[in-house]
Amino acid sequence: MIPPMQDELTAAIATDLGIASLPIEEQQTLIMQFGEVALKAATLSVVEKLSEEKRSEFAKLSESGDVLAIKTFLDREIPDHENIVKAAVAEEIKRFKEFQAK
Amino acid sequence: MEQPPKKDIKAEEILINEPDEEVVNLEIPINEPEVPITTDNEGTPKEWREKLRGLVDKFTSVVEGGKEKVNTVFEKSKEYLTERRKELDEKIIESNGSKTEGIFRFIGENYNKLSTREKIGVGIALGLGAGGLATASVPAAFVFFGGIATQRVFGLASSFLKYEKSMQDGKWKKEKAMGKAVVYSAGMTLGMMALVEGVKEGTEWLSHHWPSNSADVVHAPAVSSVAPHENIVPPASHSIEPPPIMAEAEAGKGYEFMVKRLWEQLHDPANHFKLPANADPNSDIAKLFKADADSIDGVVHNIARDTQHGFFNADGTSVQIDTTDHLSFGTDGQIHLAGEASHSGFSVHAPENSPVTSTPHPEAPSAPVEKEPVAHVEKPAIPIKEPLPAPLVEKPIIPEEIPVSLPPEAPIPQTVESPQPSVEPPAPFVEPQAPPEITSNAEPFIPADELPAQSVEPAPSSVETYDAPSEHLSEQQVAQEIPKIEEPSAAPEIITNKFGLEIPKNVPHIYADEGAKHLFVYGGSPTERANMILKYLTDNPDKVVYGADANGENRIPWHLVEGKAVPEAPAQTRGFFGWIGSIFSGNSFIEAPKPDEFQKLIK
Repeated sequence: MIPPMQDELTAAIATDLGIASLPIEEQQTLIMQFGEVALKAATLSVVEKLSEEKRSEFAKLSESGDVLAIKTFLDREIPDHENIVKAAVAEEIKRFKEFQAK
Repeated sequence: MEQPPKKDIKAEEILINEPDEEVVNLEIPINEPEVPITTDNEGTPKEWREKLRGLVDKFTSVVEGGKEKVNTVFEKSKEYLTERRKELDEKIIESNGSKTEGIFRFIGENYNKLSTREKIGVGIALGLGAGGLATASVPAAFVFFGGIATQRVFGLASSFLKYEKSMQDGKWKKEKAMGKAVVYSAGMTLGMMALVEGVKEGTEWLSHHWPSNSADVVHAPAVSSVAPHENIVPPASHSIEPPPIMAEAEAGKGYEFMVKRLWEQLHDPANHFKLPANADPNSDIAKLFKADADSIDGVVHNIARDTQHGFFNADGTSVQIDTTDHLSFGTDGQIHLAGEASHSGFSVHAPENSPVTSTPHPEAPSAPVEKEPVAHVEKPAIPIKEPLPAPLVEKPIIPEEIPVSLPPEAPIPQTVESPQPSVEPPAPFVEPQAPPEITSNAEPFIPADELPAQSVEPAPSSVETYDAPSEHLSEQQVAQEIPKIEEPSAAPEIITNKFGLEIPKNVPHIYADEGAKHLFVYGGSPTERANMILKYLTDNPDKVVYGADANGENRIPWHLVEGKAVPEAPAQTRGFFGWIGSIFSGNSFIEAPKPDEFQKLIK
């Protein structure tokens, strides 16, 4: 049985994506796929705001996996990075929904 | 008599063979039946079976068609996302080249290694599932790629560990804990928060771990900037990032056992924990850091009995600890009890007959109860059991029938008059219906519980007056009391509250609420109240007095620390309903004490 909290989180994301009518397993599969797409789109949107020099620095930080350093770096270099990410993710959701509506 | 041979009847024959005419004549609305249903009874069983099979096949085809449609949506969506991922990969290479190749390789490689739940967690960290209102953060999503237990960002490490240990569902243990940690750290909205468990913790984290999320931050209101006394310390911010340790409940073990386990972890050299610089020196974590092997038992004992933790109830019962519960530190440095059973903030009172720790109640005086002299009061018939509820172990209350008088030539009181020839044992915390009068111009009223315990000696119940030995109340003690009463800040404006207690607005007093669970200061100016608090806490160092903040809006707890009255952060609403209420009221702090809460005058 899926723990209630996770079930609800999954349901909330599925609603965002417009796939709530699908069986839970399929919802999860799509959410997982969408997560990768969203993460790449979000990261790309942030990276595009950086100069080439800073991109290299960001790349090193990312590969090190030091989340605190990544956050500190982004807070400093792109103070608005959270809104940028939000917009990128929202754009991917919109694309996905438009595709479904076809 | 010979029985007829048994006929081997099949179930379908029971249903179909020889149909009852009344039944088959019922009009069953079936849309466009493939095989017309006749109402005659000429059909053979075989014909009926074929007809029904036809209907079933039709129904199945409709269902299968729906399933096929769903599958199509799924397959198409899946295909779309695969294509979209490829597009992004190409775009990444085109626009960034080798400079950022490592980033996306890192994402791709690590994302595939995540579990289903962690991948869902990535989505949440990116703001999915909260209507686009939650914080969306790439670093938060990257948390899943690193060694989570070593990451301190967003307070996730401690949150994660706390939840991971509290989850009991095995398979999803890690993921569920991670999901919660991310949800709260990402600053979820009300709607989302209401969906998940652990609201209490979530609120706490929103308040303390996510200061940049202004929408969700609850700012501490200003506390009086007036420092009426050098021993009254202005409030300071003591929000800390607690160490990610916890003590799990064990069968047959109590709070003290668990608190001691926390102490052990704090002092474990392998953990390299240090007391946060801004930690409240009066906080549990500070006390545990300070404690050594010799003092820890006493420190643990004092923490466990502190009513602020809610381990003990005023009625003498203790809160039951479930085996899924655990203790950990909150951002205020205080020990908190949490777990599956207490996630919603509800405390479970232990059944009456369940064992309780034989800890004296925190409200109990330090001197043994039996040594408290009770003037001409018979010993209660009901034995007092430990832990003693506050009302039973407070300093003895001289009943209203015994007005306390001071002679004109203060400072030494001479008599305690009792108009009643016989005095019954006082009910716990029964407030006199009317305050005793001061019997001369210079005779201040000293409430009964303010008199030092030794000043009241047992007296024969048959006498009306009691001559207190003069040495039982020193001149200095009385002199300390007189000024504050002789010089009120203004002519008293009296409020009579719902308990019938007369409360002067302009004169500070200490009051107790119903059941004497809390103490309050009320009346007078902030300076007068602060001085009153200091005076009271000096005499009762283990107590906590709640007062109003500078704006008179929120409730501030005051403690005595090293001889100084120290205010703490405003008291916050507790539990699920408290939190929900705070959402609607826009304020998570408890309101300043109000006269209708006071049942008893203490000082």
